[in-house]
Amino acid sequence: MIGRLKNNRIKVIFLLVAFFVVFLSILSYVRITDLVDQSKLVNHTNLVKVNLEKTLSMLYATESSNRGYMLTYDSTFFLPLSIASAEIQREIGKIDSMTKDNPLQQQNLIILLRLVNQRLELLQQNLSMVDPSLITVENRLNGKKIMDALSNHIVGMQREEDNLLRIRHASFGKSAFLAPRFMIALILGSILILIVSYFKIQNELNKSKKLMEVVEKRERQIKKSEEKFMKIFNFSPIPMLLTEIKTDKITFANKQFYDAFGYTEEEVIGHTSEELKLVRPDETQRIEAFLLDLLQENRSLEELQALSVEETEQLLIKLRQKEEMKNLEILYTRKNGESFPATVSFEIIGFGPQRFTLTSYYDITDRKRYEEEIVRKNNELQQKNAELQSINRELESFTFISSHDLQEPLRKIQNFASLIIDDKQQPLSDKGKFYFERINVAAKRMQILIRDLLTYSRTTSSERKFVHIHLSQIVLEVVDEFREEIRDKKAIVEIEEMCEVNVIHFQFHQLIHNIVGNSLKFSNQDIPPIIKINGTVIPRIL
Amino acid sequence: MKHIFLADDDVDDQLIFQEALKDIKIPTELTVAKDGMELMAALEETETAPPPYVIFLDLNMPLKNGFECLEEIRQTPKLKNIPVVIFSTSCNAGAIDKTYSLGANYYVCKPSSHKLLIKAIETLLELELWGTNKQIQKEKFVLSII
Repeated sequence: MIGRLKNNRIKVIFLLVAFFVVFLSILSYVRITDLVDQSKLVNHTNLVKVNLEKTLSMLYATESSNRGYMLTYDSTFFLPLSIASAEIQREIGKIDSMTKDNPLQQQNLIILLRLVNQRLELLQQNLSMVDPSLITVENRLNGKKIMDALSNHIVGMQREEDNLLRIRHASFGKSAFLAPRFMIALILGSILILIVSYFKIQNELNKSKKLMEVVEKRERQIKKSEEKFMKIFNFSPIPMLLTEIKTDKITFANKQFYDAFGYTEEEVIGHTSEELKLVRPDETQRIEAFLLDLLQENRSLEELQALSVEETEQLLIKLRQKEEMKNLEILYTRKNGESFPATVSFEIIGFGPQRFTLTSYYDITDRKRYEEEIVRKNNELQQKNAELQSINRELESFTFISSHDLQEPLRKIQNFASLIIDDKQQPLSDKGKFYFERINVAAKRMQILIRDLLTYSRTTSSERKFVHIHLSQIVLEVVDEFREEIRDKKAIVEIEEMCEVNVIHFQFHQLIHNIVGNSLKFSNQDIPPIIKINGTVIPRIL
Repeated sequence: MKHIFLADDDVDDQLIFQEALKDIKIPTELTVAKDGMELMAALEETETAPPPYVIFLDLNMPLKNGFECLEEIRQTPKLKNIPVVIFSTSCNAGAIDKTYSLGANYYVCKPSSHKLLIKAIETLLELELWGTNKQIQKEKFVLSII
């Protein structure tokens, strides 16, 4: 837009300047012609004066001829007269034609002509007299009068011309003043315009040059980045193709593509991927249907292939934005017929004026294998887990049942032992009672053992749920559980500093239970035990 | 005279119970059933006669176990008000919860001494088992025998 405005501005300025120059030229031309005319006029006046002078001198010449004749009676004085007469006539004719524009002088001329004719007539009369002494004094006086009149008249005419000359000279002077000045103005103006144009043009040239430099630099940069791209393209570890959108033909393929698909350059470049049958035949239909459906296209594939480059690009962009295009898996075939799965992704790229699609084919054979492997291993794991869980459950119930069933007889032993001991009707001896007590104790111990075994089995199989808990809480629970024994033994339990721990409650409870139990069990029989319990967290010493 | 019903499949446990009753101050009369079926039959007979003061119910019995009996008792209009005390060797939370939800009055874990059993029975018989429609709180459901 700016360019166009600038263009128009330049045109306008040029037109203005041209007009100005032409105008000045016209003015100058007018001035010069005027000056020439003025000088012509001045010359003209001078010429008239000269002619008048000539006429006068010729008249004097006739006068002297006349005198000569009168003095010498020589007829040779006749010749100059006739010549002079003719010449005078001629001169007068000249003056007449020269003063055609001056009515005053024309009138003067008529008078002059009359006077001249009179004079000439008189001269003729004189000359025709054979005897000059016969020329009367009257004649001579007449002649002189006419001569004087002529002289005066001519002088008058000359004076008239002088007036004219003065006027014309003034005019000429004015013209002579203006014309060169106009010329100078024209010249200076032209020079100025020339200089300004020169600078402007120079300016524009410089700007152009700078722009050209920038353009060249940019082009170099583009070339460089294109080279860079081709390097990356060629050495990429993923097979890639550059396909021209317009013709659908493959223009470039990288080394990895040739390796992966097993084709040579001649077989690939200039062909379409359909020709090469890259996509496995049974896959093509599925893929086509999938893509058309994704684009929500009702047009057929042929119609789409006939679209212009811009329209095709639009479609490709639309396709790329779809989520389903990410990680699209397609089965491809190598030249040797092997097929392999790959994820395909594409991008649109421009090189110079041409538009290409950059397609990459990422072989996912390994990935698929790993995925299958993972799924399989997962299933195995799940199965094993399920098995383990059911085994665990069986084990638990087995443990529970067996421990429970094991405890039963013990309970009965204790019951019967106590029955015997407490029998009032058939009391035992002291020794007997003592022995049955021992039976009771043993049975009780076994019971406890079995119970603890059961508890232990449960601790290792129960959920490993860690909780933040203050140790004092667990300790108090345990001490409460032992309150009978503590009372029996008259033990004093002092709970001192405690700390917070992150433990499996059940397990830790068991631990404290065992420790406190031990402290009560392994105490001096006679002395009431003093049990001090405190807990601190110490840094790990490994 | 308090009429007591005992349902237990174990002969030894029956004997132990009887011996304990002998040493209780409160006069009692005992009817023993060796499985659930016998218990229900015995209970049917008492429909016309005054019902038992309390039923001591073991859980693990053949033919019909304690849970089934308890459920049936509580669903029979004539029997549903009879106090039922679960008398079992297993003291796991599952059994306790289930019997509580089925409407048992108390839960007693079979003790391992004659003296303790006497104490338990005495404590129970001294409680006002009859006369309360509301079930006891869960915390007091399991009788602690100290």
